[in-house]
Amino acid sequence: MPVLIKLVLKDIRKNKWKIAIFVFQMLVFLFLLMLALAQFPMISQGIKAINIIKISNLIRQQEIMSFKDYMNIWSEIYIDKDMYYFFEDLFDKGDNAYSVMESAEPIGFSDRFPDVDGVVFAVGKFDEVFGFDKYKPEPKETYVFVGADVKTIDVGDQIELGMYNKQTYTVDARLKKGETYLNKTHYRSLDNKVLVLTSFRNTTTLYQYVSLRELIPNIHLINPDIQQIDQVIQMANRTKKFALVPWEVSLRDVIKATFQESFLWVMLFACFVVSMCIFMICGFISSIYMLIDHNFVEYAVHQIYGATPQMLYLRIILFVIFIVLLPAAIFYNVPDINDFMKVSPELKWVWWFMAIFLLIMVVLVSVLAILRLSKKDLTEFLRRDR
Amino acid sequence: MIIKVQNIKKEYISGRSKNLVLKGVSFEVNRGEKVAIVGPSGSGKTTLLNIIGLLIQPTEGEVYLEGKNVSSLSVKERARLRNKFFGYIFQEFLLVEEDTVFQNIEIPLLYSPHRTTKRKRKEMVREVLEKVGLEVKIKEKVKNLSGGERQRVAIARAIINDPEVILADEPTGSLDVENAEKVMNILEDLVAKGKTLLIVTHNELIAKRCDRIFKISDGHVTIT
Repeated sequence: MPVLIKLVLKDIRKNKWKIAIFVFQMLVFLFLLMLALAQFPMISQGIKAINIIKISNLIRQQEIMSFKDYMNIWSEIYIDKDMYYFFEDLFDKGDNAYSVMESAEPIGFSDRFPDVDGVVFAVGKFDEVFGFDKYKPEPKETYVFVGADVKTIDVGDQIELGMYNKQTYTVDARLKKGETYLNKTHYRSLDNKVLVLTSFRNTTTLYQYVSLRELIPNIHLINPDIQQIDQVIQMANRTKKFALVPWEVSLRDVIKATFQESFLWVMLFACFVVSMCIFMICGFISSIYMLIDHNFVEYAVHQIYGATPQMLYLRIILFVIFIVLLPAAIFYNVPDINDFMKVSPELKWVWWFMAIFLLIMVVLVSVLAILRLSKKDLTEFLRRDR
Repeated sequence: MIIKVQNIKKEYISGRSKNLVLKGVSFEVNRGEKVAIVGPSGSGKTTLLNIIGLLIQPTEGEVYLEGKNVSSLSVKERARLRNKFFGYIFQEFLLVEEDTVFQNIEIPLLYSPHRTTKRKRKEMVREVLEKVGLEVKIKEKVKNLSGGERQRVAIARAIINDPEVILADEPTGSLDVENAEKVMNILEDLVAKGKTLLIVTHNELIAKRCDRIFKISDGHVTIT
């Protein structure tokens, strides 16, 4: 083995510029591959959205209206009794509105539960629209659910929520993997979140005006009449903070269009990834073939003076492993790249995909190189009339 | 007796045609003997030499080295025997052009069962280079050497492991008269020190300098 390593190092020294160019190409390729693969989760988001359409009667059968919101950054939010009761009635007594507050984690929450990517308070008919009824154990005002990927909080654990007033809640259930909701036209995965289904009154008690900053612009109305839309716009205007404009876009159409767009992008990236992989493997194979052809006299001499064919095969395999491992080691040791792939559970598979691709590349190229070398018969080489 | 070949046959198959080059060759070679193998082109001289040197397998027949049948040895055992028992010299030198003289000559040492350090290998390479008169060229790349120098490097490589038998296939075929004489003198010195030499040649003068001449004709050997 030490002899083989010495000979592989000699091969590397002899081909150092070719290797340097290959390593550079490989690094660029791995970087582009990573970016391309990172787009693939879009398709799963799209599939989740289509599932929402399938499971939710409300979305399937009816139009949901949301509002474009314009915020006055110079003004604080104003709310009086009439306005408050209007919104309370809309969400807690009405049957065609929902809203969400997406930044509801208390201070220090992310330190205690680092794998939780946010706490979402949902009010109104949110549970019926997105099918969260099935998780409710018994009728009560507030339900707390944890996403499928949250490991630091379990069912039965107690967590404290709120900002100006705090309240401790027991976690009621764990959501299934892939649960999603829609805020305006954006999909939001709940896999890493805590979902709190509660009343408008309770949310404003815990978070006061902070909650109104999100609940008002995020209002969604199901089959509203013109009068109700007017009322919502008027009440929002009276806050002096928001101006709402009806957004008559069918969520169903938006979901479908976005899904189709995602699908198109994924197909495009898939073609790109496949052609890049083929290009890299072909380039690598031809380089190794050239190396074998160029080195054949040396291989023959080594075989004449005591090397077995297996030793030569091993020498080529070690060379191939080195050439692939060098850029891979550089790539996987760039901290930003490593973080990028490991920070999101959705991208962890990219890390593994690339590692498996590199392994397949080593095996494939080694096998082809061995076949190439084994076809070059020493017997034929030694015949002077060849 | 150091080499004995018994009823060696070798057939080359090219597409549908078969060519029986050796048709049952048998002879013995004694230790310290200098044997020339002669014959017309394509008569099977190189094939016979390569069979004796365990580089190719005969279609039929046995090869004995120091009384031991080596025809049915494993690939690994044959490789080990090639390393320690034979030194090979080829007409086209078979040197690695981009490597240095040292790197070319040390190749047999790399596969030797006795592990040697790089320092020791350098010492040994220097010693054999002195024998062939090329000690100053140790760091030179082979591609910068003349034909005669290359063949002397090839001889140095052939004898670095102190083999029992030197197999030389037209060692002077690519050299001018002066260099051919130098090469032959080196080879004869080796024989004088007890090595056995089998030399394939077209050159009658070289053949006449040997103890015996094996003439191959029509797949058979005539000994003179």
